[in-house]
Amino acid sequence: MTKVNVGKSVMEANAEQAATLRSEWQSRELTVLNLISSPGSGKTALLEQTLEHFRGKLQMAVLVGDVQTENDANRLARHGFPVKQIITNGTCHLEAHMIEKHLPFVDTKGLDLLMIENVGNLVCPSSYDLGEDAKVVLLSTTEGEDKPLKYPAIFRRAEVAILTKTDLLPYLDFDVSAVRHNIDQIHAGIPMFRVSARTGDGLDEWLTWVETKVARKKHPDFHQTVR
Amino acid sequence: MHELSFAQEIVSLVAQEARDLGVSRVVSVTVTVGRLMAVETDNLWFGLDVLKSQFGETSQTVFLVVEQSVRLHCSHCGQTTDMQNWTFACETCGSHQVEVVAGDILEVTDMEVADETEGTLETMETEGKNDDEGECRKECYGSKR
Ligand SMILES: Nc1nc2c(ncn2[C@@H]2O[C@H](COP(=O)(O)OP(=O)(O)O)[C@@H](O)[C@H]2O)c(=O)[nH]1
Ligand SMILES: [Mg+2]
Ligand SMILES: [Zn+2]
Repeated sequence: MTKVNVGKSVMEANAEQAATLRSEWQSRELTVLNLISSPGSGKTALLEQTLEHFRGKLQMAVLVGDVQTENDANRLARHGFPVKQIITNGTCHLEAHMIEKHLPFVDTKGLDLLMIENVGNLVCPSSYDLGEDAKVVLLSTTEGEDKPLKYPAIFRRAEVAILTKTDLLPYLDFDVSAVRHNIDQIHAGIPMFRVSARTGDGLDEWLTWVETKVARKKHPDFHQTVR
Repeated sequence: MHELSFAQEIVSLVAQEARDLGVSRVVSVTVTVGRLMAVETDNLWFGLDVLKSQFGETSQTVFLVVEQSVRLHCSHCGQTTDMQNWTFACETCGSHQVEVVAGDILEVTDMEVADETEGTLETMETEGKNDDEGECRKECYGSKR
């Protein structure tokens, strides 16, 4: 019997594909954000508001992953940008090759910002690089404050966290400072925006962050936020 | 949740590695799973055990799944420590300026292969008896939990 060192990553094929996408998007100065949360935390609702805000200002496109149905794509398509549903048929996350395959359906020449709504799941999507500039994790006020501790990988890998459905806070005993504390334990100091897609409260901070991301991609020395 | 698709990739990777080496039978494989990968080792092991029969090279392989703890390098004091209780802070000085240096991998680390002189080639049965299962393999059973 012979022992052989292998040392090969299982994620290698995905990592290579993601790297190809990333360098392509780098040269196109295209910003890509990967939105991740549990099912129902409000990814589609936040995207709808975001599309509406940037209508006429940026060129956007959306890829939305779901295990089944085109419902989210139909909701998102009302806001004037190209949208493509990725039906994963059971797979609980998106992989780089799915992005590569579906991007041509929504791609346009001057595309500034591609939003990817991942499959609702806090575990698996965190392991897959899609070539994005940043992972954005969403957590709603109807979930537990301990979500960051239960799903540390995604909170560690996300560049920004969004607390959604803040309009419901008066009816819940959700402790906002506890969730902030728990996020800091996993990923100290990352921004945590508090938004309500229902009332529009707090959306400004998020939209400014997105605009800054887009501007920095085009001009790496960009510092000020554009309003 | 994604254990089954990882298992599929591992089994394929091992079988390909064996073919590249020109060996027909892999005796054992060590798979290292970083704790940041959020992989349930029992589910992964189960997936490997089910899926290994699709390749002659792996049909009798014993898979060993080893967990790797998360290690953090502190840029404040320079120490590298094991992460405790899912707190991404330096064990020595408490600084949050840490970088993950271990625990975020999922890899086939090493394997033991049968030497060809052991004459295993003839005894292998490689009929594609599982071919009709192809569609099921990517399912994420865990998401139904
Ligand atoms: N009250 C309230 N409900 C919201 C908000 N955002 C989303 N929802 C509701 O939460 C449910 C799930 O939202 P959706 O955007 O589909 O979540 P997704 O599964 O993460 O895409 C829907 O019924 C939304 O109307 C919000 O800010 N406030
Ligand atoms: Mg949705
Ligand atoms: Zn330190």
